[in-house]
Amino acid sequence: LSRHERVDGAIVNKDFQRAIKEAGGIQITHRIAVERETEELFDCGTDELYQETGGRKGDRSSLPKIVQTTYMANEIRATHELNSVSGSYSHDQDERHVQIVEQVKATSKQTRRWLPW
Amino acid sequence: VKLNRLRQKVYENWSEINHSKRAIATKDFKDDVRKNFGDLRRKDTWSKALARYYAHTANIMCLDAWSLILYTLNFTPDSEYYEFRHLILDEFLMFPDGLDLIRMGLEQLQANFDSNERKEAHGFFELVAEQQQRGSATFTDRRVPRLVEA
Repeated sequence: LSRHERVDGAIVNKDFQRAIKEAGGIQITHRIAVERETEELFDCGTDELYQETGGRKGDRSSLPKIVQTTYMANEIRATHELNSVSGSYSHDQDERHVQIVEQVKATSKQTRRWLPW
Repeated sequence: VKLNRLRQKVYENWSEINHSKRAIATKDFKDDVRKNFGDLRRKDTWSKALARYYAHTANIMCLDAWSLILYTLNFTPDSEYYEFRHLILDEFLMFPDGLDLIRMGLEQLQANFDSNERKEAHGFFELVAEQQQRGSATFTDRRVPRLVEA
């Protein structure tokens, strides 16, 4: 708890991606987990999200503020949940991949419940 | 990678593209592979299909460009995709915004990550260096290397 730094969506996302890696995610886990997250939170894929909001693909800071804060809230929760449960995950990398994606999906479903849309 | 496993990987990537309702021409997996890549008994048919579909998912599932550099295109020898890395990068660069996304990813990496964290992307940097050695037009011009070396 000793590090002091200004936190923004990029930092939150970095921690989230690191949690996926430390939980034993493989290369594809990162983008598939994020895609499921986006579908649960916004009912569309990331590509559509950028198209429909006029954002610049690949740069989440170009998305509307409410979208960014939603990702932040969800990724903070997902990071903690992955960190706390991933110790019990399978030793098989394919199974772990599925477990991580499912965990992120479940967290995102819960987050969605307290969103106004 | 054995042929069965390769087929499975191709299918996974293909399903991701269809899953997101961004339809590929037909809805039948084998038809699609045969039509676009040829004889299903040949391994190189499946290798080409894997590269195309992997690159496609990498392109459409790109919330943060930096994750291309650190994860999606960061191939290390322990990755099942390692032997296909050049094919995948070539396919990725066929997308009109492919090079821009890579450039954006490198800029984000530069801005938000320290040098130790950037080193974790060594698989990507090695891949680019190999492409430069092969004389790839994309990576021998001066647009990208400056950032790669940074």
